[in-house]
Amino acid sequence: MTATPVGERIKRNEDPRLLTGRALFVDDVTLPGMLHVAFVRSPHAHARILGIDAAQAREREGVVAVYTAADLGDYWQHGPLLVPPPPVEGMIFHERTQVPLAKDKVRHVGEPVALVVAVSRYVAEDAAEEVMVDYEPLPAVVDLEAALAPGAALIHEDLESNLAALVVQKKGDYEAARAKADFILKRRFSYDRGASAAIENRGVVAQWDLRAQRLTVWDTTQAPIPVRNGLAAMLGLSEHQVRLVAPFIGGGFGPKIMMFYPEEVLIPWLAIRLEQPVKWIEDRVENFYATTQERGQIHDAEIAFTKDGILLGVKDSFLHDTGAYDPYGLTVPLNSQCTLMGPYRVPAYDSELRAVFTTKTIVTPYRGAGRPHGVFVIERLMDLAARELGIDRIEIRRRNFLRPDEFPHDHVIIYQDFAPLYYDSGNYEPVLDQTLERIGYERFLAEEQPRLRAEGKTVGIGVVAYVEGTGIGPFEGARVQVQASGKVTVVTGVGTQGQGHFTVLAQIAAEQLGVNVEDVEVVTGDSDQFHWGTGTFASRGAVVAGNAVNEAARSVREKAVRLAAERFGVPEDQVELAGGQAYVTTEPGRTISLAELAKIANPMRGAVKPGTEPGLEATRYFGPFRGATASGCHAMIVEIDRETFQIDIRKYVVVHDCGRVINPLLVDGQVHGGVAQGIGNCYFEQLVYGENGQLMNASLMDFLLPTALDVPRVEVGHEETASPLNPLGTKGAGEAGAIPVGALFAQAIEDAFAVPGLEILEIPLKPSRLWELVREAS
Amino acid sequence: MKIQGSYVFEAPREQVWRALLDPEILARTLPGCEKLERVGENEFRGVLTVQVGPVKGQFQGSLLISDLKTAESYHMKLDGKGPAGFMTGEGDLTLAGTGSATTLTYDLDSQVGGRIAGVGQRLLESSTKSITRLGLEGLAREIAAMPAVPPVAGPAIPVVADPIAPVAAPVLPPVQHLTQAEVAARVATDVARDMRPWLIGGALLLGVAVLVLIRACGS
Repeated sequence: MTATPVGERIKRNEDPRLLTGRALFVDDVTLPGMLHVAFVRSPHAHARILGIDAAQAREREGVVAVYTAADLGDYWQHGPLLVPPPPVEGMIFHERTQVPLAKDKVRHVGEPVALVVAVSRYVAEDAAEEVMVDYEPLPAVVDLEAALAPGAALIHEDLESNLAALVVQKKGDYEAARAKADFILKRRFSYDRGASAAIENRGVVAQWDLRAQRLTVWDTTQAPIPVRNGLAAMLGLSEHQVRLVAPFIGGGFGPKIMMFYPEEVLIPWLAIRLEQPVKWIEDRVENFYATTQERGQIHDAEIAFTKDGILLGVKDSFLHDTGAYDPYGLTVPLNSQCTLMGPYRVPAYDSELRAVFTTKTIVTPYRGAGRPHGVFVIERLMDLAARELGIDRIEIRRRNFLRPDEFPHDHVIIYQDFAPLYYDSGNYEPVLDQTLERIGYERFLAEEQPRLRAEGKTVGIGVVAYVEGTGIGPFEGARVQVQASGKVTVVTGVGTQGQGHFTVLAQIAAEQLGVNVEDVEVVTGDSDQFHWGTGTFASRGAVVAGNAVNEAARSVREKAVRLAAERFGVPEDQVELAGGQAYVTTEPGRTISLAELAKIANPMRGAVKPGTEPGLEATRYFGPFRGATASGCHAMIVEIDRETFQIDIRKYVVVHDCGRVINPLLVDGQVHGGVAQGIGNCYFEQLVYGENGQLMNASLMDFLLPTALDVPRVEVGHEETASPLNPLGTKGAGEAGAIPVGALFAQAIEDAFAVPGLEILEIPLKPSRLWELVREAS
Repeated sequence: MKIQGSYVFEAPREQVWRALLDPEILARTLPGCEKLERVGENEFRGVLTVQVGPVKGQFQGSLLISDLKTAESYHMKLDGKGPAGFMTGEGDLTLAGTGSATTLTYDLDSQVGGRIAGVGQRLLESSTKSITRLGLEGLAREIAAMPAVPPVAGPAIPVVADPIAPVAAPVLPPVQHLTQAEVAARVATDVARDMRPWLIGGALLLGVAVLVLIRACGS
């Protein structure tokens, strides 16, 4: 064991269970008498429902019930607005949230229209095929600009247009900056949709205990507490009548946030109504239509520079595809708006975002959550401007980086947490320097690239920088308890999706209490164990829940020290904790175990003193004042096959600054996974919608995920600029791997081809598209 | 998706025209057609099983024929839906030619949605082409087996004679129609042929899949 486990590369506590198949996932839940549900989903992107005939399905043997919107009675309600619109003056926001089952019309392919409950999923699926829905097709709304054009079919007919929101945010005076500028560059950038494609699809199992009058729901959610509270309210139950268990989750990446998906809302209702356990597990085809997606945006951006490459201002106007409904408010486009200034000094910024309803699957945050778009736009503008100004691409970044003495830095505009966008801390040049060193930037350009080009190879290098707003509030909580065995239990309400909470949170408690990390058991995702919390998103778990655990463990530590000091008859400052024991620093032989102290704190006789609490236990909450800004640089060397336009990433480096690193092994893992997703997003994955709103590649045969052959070994370096916003000094790391990959691909590929007219202004690319771009430019 | 093309029948226009309006002939020749019946003067209803790549589904649909110009052209509107999604098609069928050869030209706009579009997309166009071709070949066999008829006079739709009435087909061999397994095999072969320029390996795999499918269907 180590005395200071925080900062150590410690293997994950949860892995033995996961690797030996002893971890519970929602689909593992099997209950006696359990019924199964299949959904009838719209094959149309946009259509009026003229009628539903479920008579034949109801008659099938084994079918328990068939429900349409009309059968839901008062339970048919629009889903909650999960994030309210930001407090920005002059903002427009039209709240149109999803419904459990479509009633009058359907607004995207895959929207549920009816459901069948049966004794098995097989029977339910067969019966679902027998539910006949009569549709009157309406024009699909797919293209973002066409959606806003006059005469476009209205997705929500009570609105005047398909505009979902308009937010204009300004910093400084862009027009004045533009007037002073020596050089202006304007481009249109686009980013298309992808699916997060978690290994585990969504699933819900619900059980109503009639005698206890309690509902238990197992749900693949990243936010168990908000889902419990929301379900209790919808079902007319008290919060304590609902137990929400979010067990191990096979990847969340955002779409498993507290969505109140139709299935999530309906399965518990069915369990109560039918007084039998009910299960639904999403299949992969459903996942392509029914689980939220992200990334569709079009930016028209302009940047103003002096002739020396000093950035004077940026103006951006962009369209954001929100899909058929907008339950998650404006988090994604606000992130784009607020990440676009990157790590740079931007004196003037003028940004207009317009969110647009389309007849496509709903858009909510997916790893990166709007940030990749902002980084893509600013990094591309920097690259293209550098090229035209004749300044080295690294140098132009250095000239505009915020310096360490400029923090905290006020960017004035409102961020997704509704606080002004402040960068709490940062030190960007050492990150860049370490990146250049690790990738071998100078040597590659001076020696390797010329040599490889002479061999006829198309090889390029890219280096990009980014920031990531992380660790936002409102809060998380934790209860830390030393058990009579001396082992420590940490309980928190934050959801987990595979990041390693069982290890990181254990390290934090172990450090405070002087115990082995393996002796700290972490419980999360069970509302009966801890019922306050927000959830896993915005790279906030380690920051917010981590600091809550730190505070709770510190209180337990103080309690243990006080008890031990009383026992030993020494002042508290002479007692330390280590090795599962309290000892007197001046007489190291005098020790008492934490187990013994736990028993003393919970006596069978005598009295717990007034004003104190029994047990070596404490509950604490942590709510950061605002989000902490992490930063980093990615670099890669890529080779492109001129015949097939397949890519081979020869080297990939990430240097990351997420403040104080709790476990470098886990941060590396987070970064590796994020990079893999970023690579997929840039060169493999694209959700292709036809003009009729049909998703044309709704299977893993046609929606290509990168494989182990496509993802290189990623070398990760760390810099640590502690955040002043929390006692641990941490910042989030969950999305850093994915965010700048698009910008990096664009720069590295341009560098490889070295064709003057080649400008990569869109992501995702694919071999055929890159071939077209290169041919057009040559 | 556009469904366009032409096909030459070794038969006079009147005979091709008659076959094109005969639900029994169409039912027998359209691959996967399980039922097709006339429900109105120019309206038909039917059941069709279609397999595109991994997606197989039964479609219930209607066929509405309008703007009939005898032995020249008609406009058709297809509307099918089922658990695997929906398919619609609208366009014109035109006949041209004199004497014993007739060229059928078809030009339809088709919409496909749901699972068949999402999962079967990459095979949709080649499968459609193949199914169309198989259908036309079947139709050609039927037409060849039909008793010769005198040219149709006047605008009225001809009363369709029973094409397999024993008196009408004294010498022609019985028309052989493809079984479902045979249709699947032929479509898979066509799809593989479509891909050949870039995926010979895939074609081989499909060939293996077809063999497996035929064996499975035969057992």
